[in-house]
Amino acid sequence: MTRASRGLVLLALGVLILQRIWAGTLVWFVNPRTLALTWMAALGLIAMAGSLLGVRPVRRLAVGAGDGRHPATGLPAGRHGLHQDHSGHDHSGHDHAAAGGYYSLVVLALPLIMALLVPSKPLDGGAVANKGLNTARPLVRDAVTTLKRTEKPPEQRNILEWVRNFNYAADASVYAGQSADVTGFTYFDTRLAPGQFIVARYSISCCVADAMALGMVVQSDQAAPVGNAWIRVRGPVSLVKIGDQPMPLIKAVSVDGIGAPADPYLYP
Amino acid sequence: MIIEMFARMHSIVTNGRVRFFFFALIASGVALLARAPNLPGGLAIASSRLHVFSTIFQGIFIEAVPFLLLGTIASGIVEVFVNRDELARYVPRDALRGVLAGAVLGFCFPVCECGVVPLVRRLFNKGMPLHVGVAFLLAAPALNPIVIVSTYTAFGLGPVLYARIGLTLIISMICGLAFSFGARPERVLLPAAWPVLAGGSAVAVHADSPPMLQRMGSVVSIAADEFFEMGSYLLVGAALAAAMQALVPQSLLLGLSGGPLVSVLALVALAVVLSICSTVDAFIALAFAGSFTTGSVLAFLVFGPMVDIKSIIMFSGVFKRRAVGYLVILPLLLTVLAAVFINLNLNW
Repeated sequence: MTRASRGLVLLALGVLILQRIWAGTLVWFVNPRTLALTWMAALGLIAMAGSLLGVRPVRRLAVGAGDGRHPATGLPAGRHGLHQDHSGHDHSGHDHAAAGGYYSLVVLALPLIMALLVPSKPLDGGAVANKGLNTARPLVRDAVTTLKRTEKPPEQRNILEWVRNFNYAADASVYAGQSADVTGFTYFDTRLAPGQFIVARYSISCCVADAMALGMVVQSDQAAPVGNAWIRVRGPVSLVKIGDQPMPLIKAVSVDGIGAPADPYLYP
Repeated sequence: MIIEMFARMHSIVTNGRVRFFFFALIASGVALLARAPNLPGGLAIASSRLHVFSTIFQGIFIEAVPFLLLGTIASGIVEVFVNRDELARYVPRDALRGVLAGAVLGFCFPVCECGVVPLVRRLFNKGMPLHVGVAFLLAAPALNPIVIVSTYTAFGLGPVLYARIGLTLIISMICGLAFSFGARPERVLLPAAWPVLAGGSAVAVHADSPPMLQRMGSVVSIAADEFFEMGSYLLVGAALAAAMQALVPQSLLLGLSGGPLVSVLALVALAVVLSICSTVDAFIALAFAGSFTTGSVLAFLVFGPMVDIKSIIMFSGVFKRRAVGYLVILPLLLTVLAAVFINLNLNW
């Protein structure tokens, strides 16, 4: 029973991942660069489920037949030599898996349970308050880095590229006056002056656990959009200091509400 | 009559119906919190945190599954194909060379912190000495080609790259040596990781060894069992890490960038809280490099791959509780010591 239910849980996990790939919601959780690995994981889970559910080339040996072989693997019960002694009973007649079976079954099913109970959505402005907006200058003294600034025309740069260009410039004022055209979600920071808010995006290296919020300050005469809304901001760029961190500021010519993009994150 | 009632209640509880009821209650509470529109202030924040938790938890799960899978398959391959006596022949006899071998074994088995734990447990089964396994466990997530390339990409050829490699090597070797002084596997390891005294995969040399196809089937079958067991540790760790990310304000930690000791402690705490994969942590560290001391950035890069929430939980599937404590505290102290020394004495 445990073996079959374990197989079903693994199968469901594999199908859940495939469904995320299929529906295009995988990018809400991981960097799409890991797509090949994710495919491998989904297929691996399904293969393991197959092995647990009995679809496998291994001949199941009679359980407890006394030939000293591991019932699940058909191998000589080598690891049971010492292993048996600790628990005071013979493992050869039952499934190893049964010990703590329900516990690990429920824990392994947690991603399924969470996916069912909590409607999936990408990280939004709600997490910035906790994760903090990264205003630090990501530059190491004297270090050589391959993360160079982009040479793209200003209108095509996204928030990550703007922030990176600012941080890698010896003198960020060279960017003053260039016109920006960026999309992101709104975020309000108490350190900002009235009429200002932040347009932010998350940068994801691997998965959402390493998400880092990056943002540009927006100065707008229009009434600020409500928090957590997706917007497109256009206007000339200048510099502003938050604390002692220089940050790019857009003097907004227009702020338009837009729908959430299919791929909400940016990738370094 | 009363006895009968008690017996009945007892049977209900042990049947798990009550537990099921509570589970259903919690589940409906969670679902309600996640889906109800227009919640009042406090509940709205709780709902937002719940979404953050759910997204990060599933993110870590999807990210970690392939690596855990590779780790369990490597473990299955070791179980089926590696002979105990052969392993003993290749492991150096003296402790120092043993821990060195363990620390650089990551170059042969490029596994990160999710995959290394099941593999180490299997190697312990096969009779790998404790100190070699501990050095491998701590070093492999950072001392492997993938992580070195990503560190190079982020920091270039410089003190951060060299010191990350050097410190990881030294600290994992010292921790390995600490386990070589008279520690017996039975006192340090949980029974599931005890070395097997006889038999094992002598199958690899036996004349009646099963055909290849059957052995490959065995690898998958062993990997599936192991995935279930190690997966439950991983997911508990992932849930804790996601809860920390949803509840602990990291902006507080990021504010502690000054001071040779405080900055180190702040980034070490952040490494534990974030539980990010060692293959990308260099890029995250890059963001702190401007404002934090170099020693603290190094502490993040050295300690993070060795110990974080999910690895602590996974360690407890292999080691006894006290040994898990040593495996956390020893690298922590050594890392902090080295990082503070760098901050005070070297102008990097």
